[in-house]
Amino acid sequence: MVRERLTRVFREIFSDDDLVVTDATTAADVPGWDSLAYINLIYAVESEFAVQIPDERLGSFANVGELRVCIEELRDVG
Amino acid sequence: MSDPMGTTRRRIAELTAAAAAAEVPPAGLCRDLALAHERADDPAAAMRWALATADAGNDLACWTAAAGVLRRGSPGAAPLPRSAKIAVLGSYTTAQFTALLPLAAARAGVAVEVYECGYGQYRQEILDPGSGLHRFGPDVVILAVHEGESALPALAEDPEGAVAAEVGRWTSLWEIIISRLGARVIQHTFVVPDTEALGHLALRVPGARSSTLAAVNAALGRAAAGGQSGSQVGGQVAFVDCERLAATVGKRSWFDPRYWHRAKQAVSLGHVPMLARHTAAVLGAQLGTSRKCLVLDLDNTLWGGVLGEEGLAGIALGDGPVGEAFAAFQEYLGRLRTRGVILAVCSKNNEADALEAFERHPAMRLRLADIAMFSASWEDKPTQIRRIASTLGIGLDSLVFVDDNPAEREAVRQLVPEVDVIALPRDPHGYVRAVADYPFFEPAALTAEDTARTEQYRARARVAELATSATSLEEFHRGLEMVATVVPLDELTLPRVVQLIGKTNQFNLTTRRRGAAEVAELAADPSTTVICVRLADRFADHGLVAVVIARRVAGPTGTGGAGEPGESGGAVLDVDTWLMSCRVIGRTLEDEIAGLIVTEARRLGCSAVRGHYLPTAKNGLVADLYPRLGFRPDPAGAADPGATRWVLPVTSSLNRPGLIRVVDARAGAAAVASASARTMEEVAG
Repeated sequence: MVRERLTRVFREIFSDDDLVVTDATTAADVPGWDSLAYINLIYAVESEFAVQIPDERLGSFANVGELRVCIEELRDVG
Repeated sequence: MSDPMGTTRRRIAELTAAAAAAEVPPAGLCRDLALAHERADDPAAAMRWALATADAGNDLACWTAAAGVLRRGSPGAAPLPRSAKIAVLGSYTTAQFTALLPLAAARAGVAVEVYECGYGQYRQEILDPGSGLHRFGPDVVILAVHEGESALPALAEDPEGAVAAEVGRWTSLWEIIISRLGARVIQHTFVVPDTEALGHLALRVPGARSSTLAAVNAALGRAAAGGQSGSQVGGQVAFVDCERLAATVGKRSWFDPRYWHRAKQAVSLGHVPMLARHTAAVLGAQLGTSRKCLVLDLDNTLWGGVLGEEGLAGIALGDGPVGEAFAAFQEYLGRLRTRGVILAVCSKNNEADALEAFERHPAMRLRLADIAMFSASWEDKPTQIRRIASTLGIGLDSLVFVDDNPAEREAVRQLVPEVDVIALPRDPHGYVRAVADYPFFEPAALTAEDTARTEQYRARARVAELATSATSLEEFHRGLEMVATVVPLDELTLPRVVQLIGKTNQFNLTTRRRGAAEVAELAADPSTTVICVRLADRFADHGLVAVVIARRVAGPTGTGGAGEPGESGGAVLDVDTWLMSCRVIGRTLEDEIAGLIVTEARRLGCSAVRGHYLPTAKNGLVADLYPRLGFRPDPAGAADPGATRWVLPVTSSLNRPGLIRVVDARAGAAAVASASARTMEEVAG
């Protein structure tokens, strides 16, 4: 479920209804992913899942999978 | 899949069916429809749904996607009424705001090209003549600044001095933007933070930062209104009151410290769409695209219940919670009227009964004098609305419709799509807020004409009624008993003159836009004449309706036939600006004004008058005005393609229809009248 909603968020932020996002996806794989888009993405993720991602983890995601794991952890404790 | 276009069409059909199920489809659905139509290569529909996304809420992701559709849009989409070059100069990260601004501006009727300065570089951009800003040449500069950018101390020893110094920092930037860039300014006000170390005591400490910030906002407003002597910014600076927007959504929601520290976002990303919408509304007001007229249903909109069923005594108005809600709504509408919004009635009702309610019900806050045009019949509302627009002489894209009935709202949305429709909530207690939240009635200025506007349009409606019964047009015009008064350009008339220059599109020979400072400067030149004309008739005083700006210039040397005045070296009165409000087109006032121009040319010792016609999308009406008045093409021709130039020797006689009595109320008018009298004597002799 988190995977599907996360894909939806990515498609919205990057305006690409056909965008395919997997755990292995990185910034280099997504056209238009720059620092501005990353801020928008984090904002959208925090809104969608009603979580607050700690600053110290913002720079640590190597790929989408790590972001998803972080979201699931935050939702578990929240 | 082997049929991608078929897939897209089915997707559109599904989405359209879902959208039809809701009066205002959710933002996500609007965005999906915009993207689907884009994929189907239907740019007009894609744009329509992108703009609907901007109306459907404040969701950042949806707005971002819709702005993308707009950015990628192909020329198939309908052109917008206005276009402008906009510079966003920010003290914080404005990239999201800048990305959404074209969508918000398109919704306000303005196609924009946007320049954004580097992070926090706004001051350098303004001051450095070699900056990207100066090369860009904006029409409007948006100062998107946050309260941290003010230099106010946490506790000011001299609060008044600190406030004055802070105001000076901004007004000096305004003056540079206006005088060197020739641009207008939209200033975002400072949002007073919700954190105040002094607590409630701050209110009693004039030097507290929250007190001085609030004082700066108020003082900036006064400075923009021209309260400072010697100020050059009058009328050229508008505000987005971010302090009020932040209060509306809650200051703790408006500002998110996590995103400030992460990315220097001074406005929460969730509220950037709202900020863009309001900035665009202010921009539209500056450029003349604000809506003008609110069209009102009656039953269950202005009063509770159905008049035809309950009768005059049975409708809910004034008494009880529901009656009070309708009365409050009428009071709010009255305030809109007072500041210049035209109110019209569009009702399915017996006209006599509806009129009686306005005349006799003791709890009515609105009366017939507040209504510029009253349409109560059993015709469908789209038909009534089209007649309202044509009778008042305004475009359908100037109208906004309010009706409690969703079916009537939908009929108007579908059949008169130029009209904006406000979705009233079911509960009348929410009516005021629904209309107040509509941003596109934003005014650019408040002048005496704004307050008197309803009476002017009421008179116009009465004139239209009389027109249908006049046996001839001339007889009709004579029956109006029109009086044109030439008034001086002074501090009382300047705001209206500037408003006309900024807003008049149809009857405008050159469409040169100028601000107050520039007009005042021109008028101070003794070789320039500014003619301002008011018009009144038997029904109403239409106010100041026409402006001419003309300059005495040296004539051409040795051009054309010898002995021909205006072509052999005599001075020429060059008509730089000639415009007239659309309210009084077709009443022969232009003929009288032509006479005034020739009189001025003689007074200034010119041998001829020279006029220019510069075509725009809207001023075809006056393409043949000069030849109709008897001007001949200027042998020198005109520089621009499509433009024409005309000349008339001052010895020529002009046709004077004689349907308007002209009164000169300027100082020294006796001399002018005397000159006119001498001319008449010469003719008689």
